[in-house]
Amino acid sequence: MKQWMVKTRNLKKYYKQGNYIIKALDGVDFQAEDGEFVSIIGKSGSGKSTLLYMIGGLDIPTEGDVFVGGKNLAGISREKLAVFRRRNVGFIFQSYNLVPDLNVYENIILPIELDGAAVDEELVDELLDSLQLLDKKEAMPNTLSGGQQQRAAIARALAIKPLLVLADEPTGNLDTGTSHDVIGLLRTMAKRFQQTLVVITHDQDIAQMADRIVHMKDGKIVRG
Amino acid sequence: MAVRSLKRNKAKNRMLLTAVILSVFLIFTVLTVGSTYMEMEKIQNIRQKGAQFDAVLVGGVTKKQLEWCRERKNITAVGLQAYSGYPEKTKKDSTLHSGLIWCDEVFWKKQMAPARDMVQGRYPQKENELMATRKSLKDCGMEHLGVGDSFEMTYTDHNGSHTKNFTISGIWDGYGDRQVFFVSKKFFEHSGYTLDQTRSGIMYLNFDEKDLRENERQEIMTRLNLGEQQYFEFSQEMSSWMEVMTGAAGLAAAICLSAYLLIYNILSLSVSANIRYYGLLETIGMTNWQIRKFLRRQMALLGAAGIAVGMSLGIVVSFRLIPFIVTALGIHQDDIHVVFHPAVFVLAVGVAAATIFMGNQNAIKTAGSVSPVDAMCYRGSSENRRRHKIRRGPVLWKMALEQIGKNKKKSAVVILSLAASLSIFLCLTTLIQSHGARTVYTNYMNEDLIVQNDTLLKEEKSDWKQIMDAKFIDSVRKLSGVERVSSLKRAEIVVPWSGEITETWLKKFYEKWQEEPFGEKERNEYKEHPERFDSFCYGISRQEFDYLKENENLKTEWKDFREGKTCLLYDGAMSLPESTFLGKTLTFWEDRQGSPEEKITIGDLVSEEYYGAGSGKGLVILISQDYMKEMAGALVFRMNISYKEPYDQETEQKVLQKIQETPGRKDFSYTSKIEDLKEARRAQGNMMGVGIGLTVIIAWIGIMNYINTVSGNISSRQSELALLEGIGMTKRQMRGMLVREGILYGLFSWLITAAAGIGITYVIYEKMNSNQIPFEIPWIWILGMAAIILMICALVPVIFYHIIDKKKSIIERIREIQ
Repeated sequence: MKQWMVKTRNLKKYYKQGNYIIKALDGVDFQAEDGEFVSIIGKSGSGKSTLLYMIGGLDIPTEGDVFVGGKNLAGISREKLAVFRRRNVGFIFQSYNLVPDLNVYENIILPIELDGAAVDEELVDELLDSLQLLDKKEAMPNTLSGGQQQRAAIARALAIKPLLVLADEPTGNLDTGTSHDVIGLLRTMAKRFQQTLVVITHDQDIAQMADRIVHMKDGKIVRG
Repeated sequence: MAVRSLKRNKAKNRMLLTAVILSVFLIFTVLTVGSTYMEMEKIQNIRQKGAQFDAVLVGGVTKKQLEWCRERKNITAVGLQAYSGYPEKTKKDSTLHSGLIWCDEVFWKKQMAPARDMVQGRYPQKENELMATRKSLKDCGMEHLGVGDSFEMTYTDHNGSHTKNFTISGIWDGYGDRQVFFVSKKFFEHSGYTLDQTRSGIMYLNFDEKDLRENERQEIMTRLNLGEQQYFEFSQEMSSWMEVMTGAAGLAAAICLSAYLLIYNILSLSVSANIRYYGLLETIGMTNWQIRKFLRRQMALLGAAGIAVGMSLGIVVSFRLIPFIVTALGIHQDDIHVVFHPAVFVLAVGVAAATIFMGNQNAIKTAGSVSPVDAMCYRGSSENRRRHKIRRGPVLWKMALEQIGKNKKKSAVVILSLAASLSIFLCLTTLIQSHGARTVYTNYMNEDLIVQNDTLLKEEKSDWKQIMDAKFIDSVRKLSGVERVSSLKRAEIVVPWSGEITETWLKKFYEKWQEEPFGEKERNEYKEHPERFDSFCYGISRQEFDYLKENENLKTEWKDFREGKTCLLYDGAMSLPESTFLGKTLTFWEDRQGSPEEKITIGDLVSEEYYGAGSGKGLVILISQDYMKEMAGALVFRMNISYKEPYDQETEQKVLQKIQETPGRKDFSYTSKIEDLKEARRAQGNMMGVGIGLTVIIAWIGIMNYINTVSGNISSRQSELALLEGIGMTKRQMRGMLVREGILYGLFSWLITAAAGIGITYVIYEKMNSNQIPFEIPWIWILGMAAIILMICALVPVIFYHIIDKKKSIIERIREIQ
């Protein structure tokens, strides 16, 4: 029997804009297995980012349920969602979103420090080594290239040993070569740590690297 | 386009507009209210002195000196006063305390006028006319009399004692010495006194400029060719004019700096957004010159609106609100006359306009220095650090500290402006709180009440009475609320001719206090009849001895003093040479038949004027009360009373009631600390109220500045905060981090205030501390204000975070970064 890491049921997210209702998500049923790499593709405004944020507990659905690791996120307070996120979900954004005032190492361990947990120095070093950032440990984000910044963001997402890694167009600001390297690394690391990986992308080549591709259109899953 | 752009960027421009309004309001209000405060201080000084003058010559005025002063161009007024005798008794009272003074037209009409509240009738013209005050009439037991009434009075002038009928030609009230009867020129001319006599003539001078240089002052002193008994002094305000002006200029500079920081800070916050906007304009073809023109128009509109609103607010608060609040609080009922200075208006507008111009130039320069595309992506330049060491420690404190260190210049501006507000608050509250003590005359040894036996001031020994016996003193001591009572006993002694000791004393005494020098005739008279020269000894308590020992650095030991081995000799402002007196043995006996001869060593000289009362020409010595017990004829001269609670009116009433119950009640006089303070407060007028208004405005401005800055800061960091939330920072941790940031701002501003603020306050305080009152910070006020600032610092970031958090979801804020 398959173990679902992520499962959404009739997930809806509606926004009111003047007299109109925008249906960002309109009854989405999405699943991702334990350790599976799923890519979500679709045009701008198709609802893929909204779906990712719902899964990550960053946004609250208008209707429907989100289960992550068997836990229903509906009805959990914002405070508890934040704790849930930092313990179970690793986020990777298009703009890397490293804290500009912290160096690479401090950025990586920030979610762990916020959780008050002990930093697994061995794991951090292993991540830095695997992501070729060992010599950039004390470097500030603004001194890194786009690829290096995204690799640091990956290290931050993985350092907390999450069950689920969510990446929102992680290669959007990178050139083709670097993009493939980054996704390759992400997939390798996820496999190594038995993590479920959900990646949003516009790039068909990147999407092809996933175990499964999900297509979205007008707030609905149309294929996959 | 400039107008449309202003309308479109409402939130950003509202903040900048607020900053301009606050700055203009700050400069205008603080400097207007501040100059009102200074004006009131000037009035208070006039009231305390009883007249408006810049220098005074006492100890007689010669014709030559008078002519020289009248001819000198920079002396605008020369007023004269002359002692013409003193009232001795009326039918209602025989111990009077007033003086008979003549003053010329310049003094009465020009110099004294600002210190008067009310005048009924006119200045005396005829010899038997008097200008009185209610106080002087009360002293005579004639308080019910009015203008036109007559009464009989015995008075003494240089020619002797006379009894005459006097008519009250006028009554005045106001400030300064009101225990006085002004007499006509004719009275003075017939009194036997002349202007050049030491005891009589006083000359008051006004100069056309307040900052006479030291060499000019010296020249005036030299040209006046002062005699041994004459004393010339420039007023305290004139002496410290330069220092006060420097202090005020420093304060004004601090306020302008604070206003500058206020605008500059907000401008620098919005500079990134502006640069992006200018980049956009450039990409669509606007030239650099056109951008500059557009920007100038935009800023001119914003500046003009801010200046107009700020100025209007300032006018309303300065001229309407502060007087209203102060009066409503019932601090003082008098009207407040707020002073308007056009220079303040120009300064407020100038600083605001210059800051806007300079701040904007910065944005224009940055926009011009990068390509249009780079400008469009501009996100502000945080300090360009390549790497830094990994820091350990509590994560929230670490991040808060990081945030402050991120843009040191910006943080410094916020901290400095907070510290400037707190420091100005500290300076003003210290000055206002200590104002009374620094400028008000206090009783000897800071006693609450000093009661005096006036019969001992009479010339005839037969009039001397013991009106404060042990039983009476004990009854006062037992009153609830009385902490301590000590008495000062006085006995007349005879000091026989003792060669150098008596020779030097009398020579100096005659030089200082008599018209004629000490000659052969006087020497012979002393040798034959030393008892005619009235020497006195005072018996002082241990407490008084300790006070003198500390204040006059006495070498005399208490044990020797108590046992009667050593005594202290009163110096009488004669600058007696120590070598002639110290260590020498003095022979004396009590002026009673059969009193034994005593010998005592002179241990120290004391200059405390408190022991200078009395009319004798002989020596005045201080001995211990234990030793004085041996003198049977000693009478209590003064009784010093301390209350358990300072300024306790109830206890004072009880003591005064006790005095009223004694048969000799008319022979008492007293000086009360409570009444001195009341008088000082009366002279101060609304100073305290205006000062409070001023400090409240400054504190409010500092806080508003911080609120304005933090609101801009949080708004510009909303994406960053959303990101932190995104990676798992809970709301509680977010609040914790922001509170810590605020606390750090508050603590750093405390540190600067503690270092620089206290230092500057101390320097200004000492410049204005003519009474040599120890520097003391009003800790309750300062700590209260510091606590409020810290609390506001901690809460404001959290409040603004809640506002932006409610407006936009995390997703919306994160998307803004993408």
